[in-house]
Parts: sequence; C-alpha cells; structure tokens
Amino acid sequence: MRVLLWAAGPVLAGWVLAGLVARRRLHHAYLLPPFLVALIVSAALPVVDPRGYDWTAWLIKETVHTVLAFALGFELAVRLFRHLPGAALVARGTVLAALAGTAALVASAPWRQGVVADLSVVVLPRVIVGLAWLYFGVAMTTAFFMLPEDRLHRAVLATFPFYFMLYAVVSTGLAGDTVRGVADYGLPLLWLAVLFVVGRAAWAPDDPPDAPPALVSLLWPWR
Amino acid sequence: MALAVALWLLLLPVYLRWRRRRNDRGWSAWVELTSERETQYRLLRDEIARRVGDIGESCDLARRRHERGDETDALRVLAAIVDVIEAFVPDLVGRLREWARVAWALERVPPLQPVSPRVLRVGRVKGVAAAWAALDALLVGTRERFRLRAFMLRYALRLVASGMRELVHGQKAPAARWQRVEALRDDLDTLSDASLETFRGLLVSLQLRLPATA
Repeated sequence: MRVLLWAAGPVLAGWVLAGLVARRRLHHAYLLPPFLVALIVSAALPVVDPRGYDWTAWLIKETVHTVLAFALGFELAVRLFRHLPGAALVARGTVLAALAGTAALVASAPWRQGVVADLSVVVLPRVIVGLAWLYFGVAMTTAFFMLPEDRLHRAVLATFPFYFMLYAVVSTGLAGDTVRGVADYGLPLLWLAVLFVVGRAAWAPDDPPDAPPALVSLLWPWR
Repeated sequence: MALAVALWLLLLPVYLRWRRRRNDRGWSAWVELTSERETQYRLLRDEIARRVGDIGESCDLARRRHERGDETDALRVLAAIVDVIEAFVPDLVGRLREWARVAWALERVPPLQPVSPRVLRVGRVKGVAAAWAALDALLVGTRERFRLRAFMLRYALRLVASGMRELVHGQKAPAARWQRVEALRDDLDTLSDASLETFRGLLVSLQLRLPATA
C-alpha cells in the first residue's frame, strides 16, 4: 500500500505537468512546473541511488521543495494583485506577516545545531506552517477583494494550505501518536487528492470569462 | 507553533464565508461596475428611488391613519414599512461593503464629501455624521476616506432600520412616534442619496482605471 502511495505521487505530478503543457497553461504559474519536476525527481532519487539517499539528501530535497513552494506562493501573490495597487498593499502586508511569523517560529524552535533529525521534526514543520500561512493569506486576500480566480490558481490556493498545515501538525507530533498512524497513510492520500484537484484544473478546457476585455486584463493579466 | 495552527483554524470559517460569497457572485461584482456604467447607475438610482418612494408613500398612509385616530391600523402599516426597510437596508449595506472593497483594491478614488449632520434629523444618525466628518478631516487618502464613507453610511443605515423597528415595538407616545417616523424617513432618503453618490464615485474611479470599457 505504501509503495502504491509512494508511486502514485510522481505519476500524478507528471499528469499535472502534462496538463499544463497540453492546455498551454505554463504561463499561468511559471513556478508550478519546476515544483512538479522537483517532486518527480526527488521521488526517483531513492530508486536511482538507494545507498546515496541519506538524511542529507532528504534535507536537500525538502529544502528545494520548500523554497520552490514559497516562490510559487509569491508568484501567485504578484500575479493576482500586481495591477490592483490597493489590494497589493494588503497582500504585501499578508505575505510579510507570514514571513515574519515563519522567522519567529523558526527562531524560537528548540533544536540542536547539526542534528538533522531535529531539523526534520522541529524546524521544518515550523517552516511548513509559515508556508501554509502564506498560501492561506493570499487566498484570504483574494476572497476579501472578491477577485475572480483562475481555475488553476484556485486549485492551488484552496488545497495547498490544508495539506501543508496537516503535514506540519503531523510531522511535529502536535496531533499525538494516536492519529499518527492514520496520518502515515492519510497525509500521502491528501497529497494525492491535492495533485488530483490541481491536475483537473490543469486539464480543464479553457473557457474565457464573460467579462469586458479591459476588466479581464486588469484582474487576469496573465491571460 | 500550536498558536499558529489554532489561529489558522479560527480564521478558516471566515475565509470559507468570504469564498462562498465571492463564488456566488463570480465575476459579477466587478463586471457590474465596469460594463455599461451609465446603465448600472441608472438602474440603481431608479431602484433606490422606487424603494424610498414606496417607503415614503407608506409613511404618508400610516400618518393619515394616525391623524384619523386609527392608531392600530397606523401601527400595522408601520410594521409593513419596517419589513420593507429591513429588506432594503441590508441590500444597500451589502452593496456599500462591496463597493468599499473594490475601491480599496484600486489606485485612485475621487474625493467625496461626508454627509453634513445639519441635513440629518435623528440624533443618533447626526452623531454618526458628526463622527464621520471629524474622522474624514483626519484622513488624507481618498481611498481611506471612501472606505470610511461606506462604513459610516452602513452604520447610519442600520441605525435608521433599527430606529424604525423600535418605533413599532416601543412604547413611545403617538405624537412623538410620528415625528420620529418623519425624521427617520428623511434620514433614509438622505443616506440613500449619499449611497448613490458613493456608487457614482466608484464608477468614476473605475473609469480612471479602465478607460477602454468606458
């Protein structure tokens, strides 16, 4: 079962990537394809070189994923609010608050320098909570200003915060040992669901919004 | 860490509510403001005039019943007016909230003057207008003043609606009650006109931002 879950992740990521290419949606979120490629490559690493896949490799993989996820969150924020100066101010405040919160969480983490296990169960979950807050903040700002969302952006903004928050809660042990066993399967399943939702958005046919062109170019400048 | 997770869980219902409201309207909230502006303005103006006119006529009818000495019947008409106001005011308040958010997202909004307390008649509404004028003088940005305007109008409109409701259920002397009804009706008229002016201001600001759709 675990092997199946492990194998399904990169397959679904590939399916999402294929959808972005087939439907010509790469320019809707430039950093989503690199993020998906990183997922596929990192899933292949233990198969290609099982002996070389140690804690350090795992840490590099997680760092790359996290950096790309942060960058994708920033990209979405810039895309959604670039042409709306008032909303951009609010979004900037939200993003900065998420970053400051992440920094504060990491700074207050009780971890022993040089111990990789501490990084995985103490520091990384705190960074992931910050990531969840970043996506959630962008999604909240979008909903507050009643901005219509592109299908792909909606799929990312509506699903990523849930997965990241659950990931952080489970990996830090906040949820306790009783649900941890369930989460061993639940978390990968949730990630597959997230990829499925994003994939559906990536493969969905393009339907132009029923709105004046000037308004579309103001709210969806990437189209 | 636990605090960050708990705060997220607390904000989640707020986010879901905003999302649902936005999804209900889709593009329409923005499209209504950007396509055929003159038509949109005329439609809203006519709708407000119709509803305020209906309320005014009903008030006249209730007052005539009161003058004839038929207080029970007059109160029944007044209760019907409250029903109309309770349908009209939340609708206008919701629109003002949407306009404020759209204006907040934009770059420039034309400056609009607050409603003077002198043109209002009900004490509490006058108080709101006085606070509005004082705060408006302190704010520099037109966007912030626009948001203040929308907030104060929403508050004042709710006061008018609750004032009308109190009159039906309260124990005021008949003469004082009907004076109050007249005052509330006039204030509703003034506040509706100010709301329409707010809408006009937003349309102008969108015209500045989107000249191609003008």
